[in-house]
Amino acid sequence: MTDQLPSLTVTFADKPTLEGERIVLRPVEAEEDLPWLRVMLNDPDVLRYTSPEYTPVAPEWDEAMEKRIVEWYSTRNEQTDRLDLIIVDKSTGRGVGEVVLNEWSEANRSCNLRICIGPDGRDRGFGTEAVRMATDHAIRALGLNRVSLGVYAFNGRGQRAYEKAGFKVEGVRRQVLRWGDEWIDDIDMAVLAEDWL
Amino acid sequence: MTEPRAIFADKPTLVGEKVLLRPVRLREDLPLLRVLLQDEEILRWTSGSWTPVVPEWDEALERRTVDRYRTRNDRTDCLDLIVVDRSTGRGVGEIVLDGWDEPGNSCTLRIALGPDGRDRGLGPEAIRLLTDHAFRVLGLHRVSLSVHSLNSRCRVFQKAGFRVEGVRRRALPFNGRWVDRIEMAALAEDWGHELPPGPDPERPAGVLEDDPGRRLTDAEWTRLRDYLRRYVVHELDQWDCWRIDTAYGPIAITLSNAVPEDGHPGVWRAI
Repeated sequence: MTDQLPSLTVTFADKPTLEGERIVLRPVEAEEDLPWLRVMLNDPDVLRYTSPEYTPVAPEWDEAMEKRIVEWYSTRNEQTDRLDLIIVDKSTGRGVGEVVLNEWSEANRSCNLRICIGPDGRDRGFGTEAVRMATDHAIRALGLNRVSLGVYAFNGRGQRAYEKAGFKVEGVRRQVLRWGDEWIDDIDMAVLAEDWL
Repeated sequence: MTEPRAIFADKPTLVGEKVLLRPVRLREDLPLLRVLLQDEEILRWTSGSWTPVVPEWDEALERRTVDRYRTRNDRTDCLDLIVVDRSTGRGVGEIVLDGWDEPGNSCTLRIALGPDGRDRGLGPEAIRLLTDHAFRVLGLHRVSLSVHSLNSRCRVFQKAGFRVEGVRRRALPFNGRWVDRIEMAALAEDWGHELPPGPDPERPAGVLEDDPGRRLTDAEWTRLRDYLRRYVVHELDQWDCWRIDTAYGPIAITLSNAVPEDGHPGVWRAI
């Protein structure tokens, strides 16, 4: 590559705490986070904007589900090919959502970003700030060239947050999600290191 | 949980004008598979490296290939067909549907033609036959794929009826620089219909088709022009794609140096 590879002292195995203006991003603390994560995962907006398929009502929270969620969040800090961070509202010290860098491609120096914010953290600019911080970490600390994401066309709040954070629309994948009687497009967005630095 | 539908369980033979698509017959097809797996052009566009390393055909690779293709016809999650040149009766390539997404009722398509199958219009026909099968027989809603932006053969997909949906910028490293990946798809509802005509060269590019009396606002028009200028100044060998949110709703703009044959003179005149 023509661009300089930064010295890769930071990897996906590192789980940093990143201090922002109004939020802090920190590693998952399963015991503390599980109670509010359960609430967030049942939120109708979260289901609508993050489900890969039509999920009009939250699926029943049975034992199997509980086991899956506990297992998932208690193993996030052991992952070496992805980074899951909790978004903490600095004014209350409470977790309000999560931001994740996943689908890392070492060869292409790229990854995917996704974010999910519960009802307590919405409409306060937390999403934009969290996206900016996680992207900055991906590009500056992890040395990635490209961070991309997909956002459903009916999620205007998400699109605005990503655009404000610096992501650009790269395309519209038509009719990928069946939501009730409607087909929903998926908007591809990305940010490149050359635009970011 | 119910078992996923065995969408690709059936292995049909599809007959076209110049090509025929049929299930894999390992003993007969092994020499072809060997050619495909060692072909530099195929490796270049699928392996992600500029100077592809052609793998040595040793016992281990042969065994891997045999293992992989022996089970092709039993797999229900992908449909691998051999592209046969009808003028010679010989297999010249492979075409595949996989990546089935049940809730979205969609799948992906890929094709690899060996040296004997290139530059003769076999690709578009094979793609059209299999996509047609996906929509009309399997009842799928969407077929998508992605192509390396430097692969000049990406136009076979457009010829077959696929449309560019976006360009993933700098998605792949290639020969010391980054190149884009073009995303394409076909939808069942568009399939078989004529593509809408390009902009009318007699009409200024800033005017929308559905309401010729209204124009883009100055701000929207400036933004469009900036995009186009950036494209011209920047990299003519790359594709680009933008979305502008306008008072008329979002407008998608897709450009490439391959476009003029499809006719977008209005846009070019506006720059």
